[in-house]
Amino acid sequence: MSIQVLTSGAATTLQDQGRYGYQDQGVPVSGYMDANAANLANLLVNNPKGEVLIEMSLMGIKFKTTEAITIAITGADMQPTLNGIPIPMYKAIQIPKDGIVKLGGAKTGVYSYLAIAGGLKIPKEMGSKSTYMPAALGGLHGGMLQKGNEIELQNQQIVQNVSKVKSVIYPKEVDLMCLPGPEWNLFSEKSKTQFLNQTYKVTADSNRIGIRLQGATLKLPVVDEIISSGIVKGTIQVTKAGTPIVMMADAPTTGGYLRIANLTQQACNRLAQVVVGGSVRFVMK
Amino acid sequence: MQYEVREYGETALLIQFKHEISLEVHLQVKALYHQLKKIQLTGVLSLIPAYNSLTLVFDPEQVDRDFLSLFLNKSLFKKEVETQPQKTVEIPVCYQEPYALDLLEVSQKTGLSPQEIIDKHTQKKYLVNFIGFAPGFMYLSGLDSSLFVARKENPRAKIEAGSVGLADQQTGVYPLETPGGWQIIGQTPWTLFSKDETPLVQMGDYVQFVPISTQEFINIKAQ
Repeated sequence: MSIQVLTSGAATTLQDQGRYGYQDQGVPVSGYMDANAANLANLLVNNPKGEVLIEMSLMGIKFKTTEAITIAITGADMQPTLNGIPIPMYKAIQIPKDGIVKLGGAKTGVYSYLAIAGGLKIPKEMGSKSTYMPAALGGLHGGMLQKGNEIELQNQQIVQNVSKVKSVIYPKEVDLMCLPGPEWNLFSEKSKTQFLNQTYKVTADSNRIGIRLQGATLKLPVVDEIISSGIVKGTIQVTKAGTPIVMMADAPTTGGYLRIANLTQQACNRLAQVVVGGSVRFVMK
Repeated sequence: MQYEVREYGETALLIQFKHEISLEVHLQVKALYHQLKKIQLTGVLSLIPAYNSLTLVFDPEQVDRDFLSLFLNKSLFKKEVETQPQKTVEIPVCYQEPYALDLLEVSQKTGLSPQEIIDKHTQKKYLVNFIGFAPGFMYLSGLDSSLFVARKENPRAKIEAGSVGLADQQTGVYPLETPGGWQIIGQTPWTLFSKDETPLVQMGDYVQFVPISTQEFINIKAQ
């Protein structure tokens, strides 16, 4: 009882709700980049919240099933097909034995989530099944899915959930709600205003660690770094060059750049789906 | 124990101690970290101790931020800091070829001979202020000021796990293979981060590097 990976996609990993409790050993939390989409995929196939699923970035995978299974796909629109015929997203779909499911390039958004009813048979490592590649933790041997991989399924279930949820279209321009960060008040009024009024572009060197943004540089206060301190998902650091980086799922546990603001959890989910070149604006809650 | 509890996004609180890196503040952070770890408050997912702060990550669906904040402000955490005996972990390091990639460069920059660098690096015990940034990475303090040396101008794309380096006022060990800009003066055959074993070194321990030969390095690695 498994699925066989025929093509790997661009950066496909297994993720759950994250690896908490090991940050005092320097281990990042990892977990879903867009928790909204992931939670919805699990819900549609009656999986518990936080169950491990397949996260795909920009380009999806192709796989074959050895048994009949139920899946649900949410997040970025990778135009999924079953044996070459388009299948809907945001809905539980029955896949017959030997069915071939293929996801393509993302039409809107960045991250797609594919949940399989009953879950995947993946051992927990340090309390989580999430993949963290630098330390080869979690997922399938700690790495990205590769062509030829076989993922064992936990308890194959056929779910007769007929509900279809409205698809999400991810805009290329978003407003992101944030809260003042620990060093917010070190910045001048002018820099704060500039931070909140200007539009930033998402750059190509963004990934699961952080989303790097480009815009007119912020003038830093005289003290332009802090004594290294904790970082969480959504922390917006300002580098010495004056540009913000939003720390995401695989962020280091500590850092020394100024923390100007923190995204709300919902804003983290929204930002995860903004494509390279898309624009964001910060709105203080 | 003096600290201020500050809001830090929707899912964390930042417990900020005095703005300095010192043994006194370190002992306070450590004491609070151990006490919070022990009581395991419902909804608290994670604790991130650092030099002079402790970040507490929580699940807002399970626990109210204001409650946590109140608890941290009103609780009578033990005022005296722990006096448990300090543990010193001796970590073997080979400062010879082919592991001492930048020893000669450091020698030129500091004016010390390679042997003097090794002696100065291994004479002292370093305090592990905390483990952070990356899995198993120790923030050490106590480096002899004669060994302060700037990072490399061009960071290496790949540094082997266990590499021991110098960077500005810091010394440390790369626990995993990563890119990096530290001046590499040696390598330990030990694995500093393992998902299956309890960590060798913890916050508050002391670390002392012990020089070993290339042959000893190979022998330990082969075990």
